[in-house]
Order: sequence, then C-alpha cells, then structure tokens
Amino acid sequence: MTDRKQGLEATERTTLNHGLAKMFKGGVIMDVVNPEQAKLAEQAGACAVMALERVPADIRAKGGIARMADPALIRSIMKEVTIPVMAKCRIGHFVEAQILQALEVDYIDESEVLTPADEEHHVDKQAFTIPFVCGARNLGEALRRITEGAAMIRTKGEAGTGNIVEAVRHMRTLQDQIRQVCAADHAQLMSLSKQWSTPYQLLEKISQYSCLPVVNFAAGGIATPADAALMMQLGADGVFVGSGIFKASHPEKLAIAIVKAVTYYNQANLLANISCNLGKPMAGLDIAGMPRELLLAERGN
Amino acid sequence: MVTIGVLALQGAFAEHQAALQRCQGVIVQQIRLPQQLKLIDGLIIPGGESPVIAKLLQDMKLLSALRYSVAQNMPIWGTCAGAILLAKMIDGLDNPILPCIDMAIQRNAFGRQASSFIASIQLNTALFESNPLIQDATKPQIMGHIARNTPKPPCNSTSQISSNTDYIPSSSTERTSWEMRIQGAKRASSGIYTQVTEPRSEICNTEVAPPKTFEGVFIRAPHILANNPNVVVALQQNNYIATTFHPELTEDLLFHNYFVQLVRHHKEHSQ
Repeated sequence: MTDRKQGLEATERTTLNHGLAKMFKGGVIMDVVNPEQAKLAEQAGACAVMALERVPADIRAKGGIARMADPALIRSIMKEVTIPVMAKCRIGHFVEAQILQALEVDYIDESEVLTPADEEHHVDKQAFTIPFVCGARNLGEALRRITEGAAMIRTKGEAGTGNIVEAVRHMRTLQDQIRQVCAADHAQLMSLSKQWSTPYQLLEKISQYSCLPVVNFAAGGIATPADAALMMQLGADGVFVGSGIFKASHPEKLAIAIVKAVTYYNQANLLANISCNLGKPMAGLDIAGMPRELLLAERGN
Repeated sequence: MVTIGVLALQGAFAEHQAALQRCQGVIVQQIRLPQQLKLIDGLIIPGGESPVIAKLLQDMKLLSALRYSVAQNMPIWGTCAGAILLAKMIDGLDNPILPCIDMAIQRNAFGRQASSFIASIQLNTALFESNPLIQDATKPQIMGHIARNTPKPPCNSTSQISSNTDYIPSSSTERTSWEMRIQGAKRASSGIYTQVTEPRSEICNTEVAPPKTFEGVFIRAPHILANNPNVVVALQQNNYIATTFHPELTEDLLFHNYFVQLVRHHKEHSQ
C-alpha cells in the first residue's frame, strides 16, 4: 500500500510540474544576473526569470568554469520578483540541484551553458520534487531527458552567440523526427529507438499523439523580436532569451518587444511595428567558423 | 451554438481551448486583439502569469474593449491568473485590472512551486444543480472549497520564502513506473495529449447528479481572502466565475460545461 501511495504522489507531482510549464506557454523567460535586471524583466512582461551569475555571452568571453550562481544572489532575485524564478545547475551536478531545490526555486535548468560536472550522466531528475527543464538538439536527446524526469524541454541552440541558426536547426530536427515517428510502423519504431538511443514506449506515445509529452521552448541565440516569432512559428511553445536582452543597447525596449512578438508571432503587420526603433541588438557571433570545443550545445547528450 | 473566446496573450490557453472543444455546442476562438471580442459570447482568461497578461491587455488596448464587454454583462471565467484579474481587490496592487467579483485575492499565497498541490474540492452541488442565473447577483456565491489544512495553510505574505516542506513527500521515494509517469503526463496535458473521451452529460440534467468533489490542481495558486472557515477556491458572482485551480489540466469537464451553460443562458436571454 505504501508503495502505491508514493507512486500516486509522484504522478501528482508530474501533473503539477508539467502544469507549471504550461503556465509559461506563450511567454518569455529572461536571463538575469541581479535583482535590478530581474525587476526590469518582470516589468517588461517576462513570465519567469532565470537567475545566473553571468549571461552566456560573458561566460564565453571570460572563460573559466561556469557554475551554479551564488545562493545569496538567487535568494535576492527571488525576493525581488513575484514571477517564477529558475536557476541553472551544471549537467550531472546533482548536489547543485539539491541546493537549488533547498532554495525552493520554481524550476531548475540542467544546462549545457554551465561547465558540465559529469560527462556520462545527467541528474536523476525523478528524484526531485522541483521540476527541471533540459536542452535538446533532437528527439532522442529530448526523450532521454524526459525519461530522466525533465518536465520541460528547450532547444539548446548556441547560447551567447545571438545567432539563431542552431536553435532553428534543433527545432526543425525535433519536428522532423516527430513527423518521422508518426509515419513509422512498429518495426520502424524499434529501429528508430535503437538509432536514437531512446525508449521505445515513448516513441509509441509520440506516434499516438504526434507531439512531445512536455512543453517545448526555444532557447540559444534569440536576439530580436523576429527571432522569437520565427521560433514560435516553427512550433516552440515560448522562448528563453539569455544574453539577447541585457547585451543589447536598450534592454527594456527590446524585452517588451520580444514579449509582444511571442504573443503576436504570426501577425507580420504587428511584428513590423513591434520591431521598430529598438536600438542595437547584441553583436553576436558567427558559429560556422567556430572550433567545435567552443560549441556549448555539444555538451551533454 | 455559442462562441467562447479564450484570451490567448500568455499562459495555458491551448488547454482551455482543448477542453472547450470537448464540450458540445461550442465554437472556440483565440482572442488576441480588441476587435475579436465582438465575435464572442463569453470569455475564459486562462492561467499564466497575471502581470504578463495584465500588461499585454493594457499595451494592446484590449483592457478598454474588455471593460466594455463587462458593461454588457458578457460571461467571463478566470482561472488562476485569470481569477486575479477579475478580483476587485488584488493584494499588493493599488488598482484592480478588470473588477468583476467582490473578492480580495492574494497572489502565490500558498508558496512557490514546491508547495503546489492537488486537493479534492468540495463542490456546492446546489449551485451546480440550479440554473446558473437563478441566484443573487449582488454577492459572490461559493462554488467550491477545500479544507483549511489541505494540503497546508496559506502563507501570510506573498514574499515569504517558505521553508515549510512538511507536505512535500521525501523526493527519493518519488520514483514510479514508466506507465504511471506516462499516465501523469497524459492527464497533465489535456492540451497536448488530448484524450478522446465520451462527452459528459449536461451537468444540469436532473437525472445525473453532479459529483460532490472535483480534483483541483493548484499551481503557485492565488488565495481568495474570504471570511470563511474553509479555503474558497471557486466563486461565481453574476456572470463571472473565478477558480484558483486549473480545471483545464484535468479530464473532468464539469466547470467547462457549467460555463458553457452560463454563456448559453446569457446569450438566449440577452437577445
């Protein structure tokens, strides 16, 4: 009896954690590094903020090991805003995750933007009460993270570059593979399961329902309202904006514009007005010439 | 046939849309622009983040259009963030957004995500059995409540970072089989993995007694500050309904059918 009860509670937790991600839908989650930025993000219309020590562009520029933010900083951001607060832990660093859970952040991002702590394993997310969001480049990766307990998925993109090309690639790959699953018969599903290292049963569910079982946001390289709307039209449920806002010349204007672009993502006449006079977006980096070891999306699989 | 709008600025609007599509005699319309309000007979304001929805309502000139609809008595149902927008008093804000219901409401009153919970709601069956409009419009009617100590009492302050995790089951014991997780995902995502189920019979059908309880999913839920020994989680006043939980995340269409009936009744009697 005890076992069954615990099982039921875990199912309820899944409902609650998948449910919170649904409340983020159609919204923008913004990276912030201090309470002032968090306040600005909240006032601009962010549906949640991601508390971290440095935005990805600075992590790239300054190098060194990127870790979970100082809990004091996360607490100060949680005090400043009424919207949900997320925070990042390193891939596989389950103690950072335990600390974030003890702080009672609303969501944990097990993120490739930070330096991985474990090259073999991700955090066993089913062992936590607090929900996790994880990055993915394709369906297999997304389903491995969901199997580990992730309650929300985002594209990895290439964080800190202000270059949307990788996020587009990851979103298109994911959608293509979902279509592939839907068209596959049972024998082919097993082959795909083998090829993508992903549980067969989940592929069966995808083929039945034609979509991921969790909310899927776009992240990594979104720098303008048009970028955000592009990801929405490609099928994202919402967007994360990291360096894009606070590395731009007019963060507040840009933040407000990106929030509107996510709501009115398929109305070009409104997007035209929304995109006017926003100042200089972040400079950005070309990914094509970048050495592989500098690509954050390669971290974790 | 009635047309019901779902405010689609931010939040779980697709989930409400999916639930309404399972009700009979409803055309669903997503609402993002002021002129779209003219097309609808009733409106659902979904869960999401209330400051985001409020800001977009203001910036996109939807709020004034919506106030006009309120003046016409158009039925409106707010869930969670939507309930906050309908309150006449919002804790921590000087002005209400769309004052429709005589209630004070406190955001995130039960704490952060770790304190989100599922509880069984005791329904006011008399209200569900009666014709939706045969009631006292001057004061809010309680539609449902949960006991004060399920699963834990609200915090006193919205900014309080609660360390009270008594009700959170120890995480290492929370493992479960794949099948159960999938079921949870399915149940949790009526919008994504919509199940094809038999439409529920009309709730006012006298032959079918409405259930006495409803599974309430409370996610960073607001709290209606009512002078009541129980925690009030659903209220109706006139054509306005506020629920602090998420009926769009569970299978039961009781509240959606009730709202459809309210909209239908209003449409028939206002022509």
